[in-house]
Amino acid sequence: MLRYAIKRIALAVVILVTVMLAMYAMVFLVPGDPASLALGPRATPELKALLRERMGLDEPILWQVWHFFRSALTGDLGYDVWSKRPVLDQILEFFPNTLILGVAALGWALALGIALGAAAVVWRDTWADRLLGVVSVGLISVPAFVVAIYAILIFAVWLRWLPAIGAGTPGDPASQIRALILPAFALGVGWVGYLARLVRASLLEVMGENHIRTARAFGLPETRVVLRYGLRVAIIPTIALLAVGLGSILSSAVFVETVFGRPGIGTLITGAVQKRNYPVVMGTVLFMTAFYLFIVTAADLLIARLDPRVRDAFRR
Amino acid sequence: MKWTTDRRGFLKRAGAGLASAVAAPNFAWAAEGDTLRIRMEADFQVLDPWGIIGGLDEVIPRCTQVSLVRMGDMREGNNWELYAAETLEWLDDTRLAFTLREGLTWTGDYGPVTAEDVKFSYERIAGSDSAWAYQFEKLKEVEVIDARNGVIHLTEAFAPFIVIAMPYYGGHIVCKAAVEAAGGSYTTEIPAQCGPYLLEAWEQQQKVTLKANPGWTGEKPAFETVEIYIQADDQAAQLAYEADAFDYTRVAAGAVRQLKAAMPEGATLIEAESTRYVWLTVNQNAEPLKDIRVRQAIQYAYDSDAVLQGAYDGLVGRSAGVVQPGTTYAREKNIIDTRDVERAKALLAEAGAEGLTLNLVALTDSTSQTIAQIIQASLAEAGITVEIQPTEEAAYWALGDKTAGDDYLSLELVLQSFAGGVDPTENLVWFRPDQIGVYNWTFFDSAEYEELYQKSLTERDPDKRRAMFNRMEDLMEESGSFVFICFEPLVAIHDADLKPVILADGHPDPVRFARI
Repeated sequence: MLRYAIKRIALAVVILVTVMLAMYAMVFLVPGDPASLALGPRATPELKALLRERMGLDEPILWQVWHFFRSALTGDLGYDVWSKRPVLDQILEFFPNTLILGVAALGWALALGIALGAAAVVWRDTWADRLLGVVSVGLISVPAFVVAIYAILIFAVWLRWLPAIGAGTPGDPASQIRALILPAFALGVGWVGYLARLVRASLLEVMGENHIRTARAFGLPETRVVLRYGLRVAIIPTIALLAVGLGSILSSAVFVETVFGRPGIGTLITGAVQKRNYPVVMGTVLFMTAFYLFIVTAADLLIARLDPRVRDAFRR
Repeated sequence: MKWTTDRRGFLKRAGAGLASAVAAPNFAWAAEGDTLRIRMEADFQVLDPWGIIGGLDEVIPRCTQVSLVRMGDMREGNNWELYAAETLEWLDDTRLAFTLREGLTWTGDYGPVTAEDVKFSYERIAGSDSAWAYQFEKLKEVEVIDARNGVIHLTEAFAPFIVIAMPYYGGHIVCKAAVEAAGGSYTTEIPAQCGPYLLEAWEQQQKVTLKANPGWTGEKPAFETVEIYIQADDQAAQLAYEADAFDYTRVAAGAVRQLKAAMPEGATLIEAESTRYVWLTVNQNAEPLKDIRVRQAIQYAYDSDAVLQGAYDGLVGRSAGVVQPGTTYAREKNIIDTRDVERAKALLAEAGAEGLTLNLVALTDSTSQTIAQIIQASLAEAGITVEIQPTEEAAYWALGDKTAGDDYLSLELVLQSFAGGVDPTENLVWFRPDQIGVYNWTFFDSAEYEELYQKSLTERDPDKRRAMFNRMEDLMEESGSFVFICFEPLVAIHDADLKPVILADGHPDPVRFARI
């Protein structure tokens, strides 16, 4: 297990370094002058040169990479070119919003997705199963920002039940929860369908196993067999998926954050990319990649702990 | 009291809670009454006038700082009025005397606003590498007479100094002592404020709250609190307005038809011509466009009506230059004012340029792409094939920059737009010869234009200035390097009982918003 853990962590570090090198390469490959963009038509050449210098873009690329990693190891992700605030401070300010949004979206999607997947198995091969199939695929297909627009239209404009924008008032949990409902709904909708299909497929596979046949032989009701003995085993593959899912949901949160005017990592990085605010781009990408790798590696280690076949396969 | 929770009890209570939450109308997000709620597209980055970038960066200092003069609503002719200055008087062509109003006091025990603060505020930007240094290009120095009096000395007569330099952006006055104590500049925390409002709270990327300044001795603003919400997306902002999240927001020009068909209850629509001008650059340095007949063929083939209808729903008319239509200095019409496809074909044939293919660079937003596609179709009728190259903003601004490589030499067609100023010289400056490879991407190089530009800076007779500006625009058009498209519409929606004030840059001045 220790050997497996070391290998997984080493792999995560390699991925992290590769991603950051790729990011640096992109900075130099993608056309566009951040100084001209940010300073607009009235900027003097001297000001643009000063800004490029402040961004460190006048230094050789390898020196920049080295400097970035050396600083990052001490927790220094640099400073925002414009506001001069530490990048790490901004990330720590925005990240909780995105994380809460992602966890809330995935949480309700998980609860409903599992319920729908289990219901489809309980009623398998009936019209209800087919209807749930159509609904699940439909939910997967609808982009989150479309759901977001309609959610605002219905719940904020017509019904006036929930706020249309913002993340709520700081220090007022009730307003923050209210502001979270629509974005979490919009972000999680696609995952409901996906999880429902996954749970259904996994559960059907489990339903053919010996312990299920034994349970049935004891005369237990089918619903109880599915929910109590089938679902418990069938839900394991979703653990691995949840780690990937959280990463994916955090990266796709940008659309929802934009529509709902919520501060978050998505809006932070999008704004930084548009303005070529490279220290913020680099710092945020590093942070998010590290967070994602941490989650995925932790999930892998957990699964390996639960299922020796996984670490054996890695050993081979 | 004994508290027990079973499954049924929990479900009952949860259900009741949810039902009451759902039934409760209009939760606390709808701030009304004494609060003005405005939406802006992006958060601020720098509040120091030296480093202001635009948008909210500028709107906040309108509330928290003063300037010697301020501009009026763009829809009422961009007239200036005294603000921090009690009097302002030209002593001669190059000396402008001012007296500060009494009672202007900085926060943080920095005392009254003084002429020394004005001197510091202007001189730190003049000749510096601030983006607003151009405002003070003609500033020699500010002479301090006493605490409230000073004289602004110019290097030469410069008629539009008051409207260009003083009302906003670099013209906001900062507290010398406080800024120096802060290290000479600041970004997001204003070291000392003196304005009708004080910056109360900043929820990054979400909201800025301004509260009325208790120490403000000038005219009291109509609202105790101003909340500025950040919402990047126009469509979402419009929905949020309908959900009563704002009192004022700009909306996309394309939303006008829909809004007119179903105007939200109690709302009013603003349709105005902004100061942002749009034109098609035809680079006379590009090989296929070196023959003026080819450039003129493009001017003849261009279908103005189709562009204005297709991209702007006919909200604005065609512009005849870069001076805002409807103002004193605007040119009446273009020399090539009517589309003539046959003439375009004939010119191309004369130049031996039949079967011409050109590259058109345009930004990726939907309006730019619509204009580009209509230009593509209209030029195709004259036999010119146009290949559209959508380009995102950062790459776009590097295209014509000579310091970014040699691409600027061979650009062919570019759809461009600039945010304009109040005085025509602010718009015409970009097409001077020294701007080639900077912001003049057409390679238009006219000595006469430059001479007229320099004269217009010092001329104070409006009729003579108009003649100069009109001639400069004639020269631009005669070069074949410009197809003037329009001044973009400014479309906004607000509560009917609200009277907004919008300045020339298209941004609101919350200080002067009023309930009617």
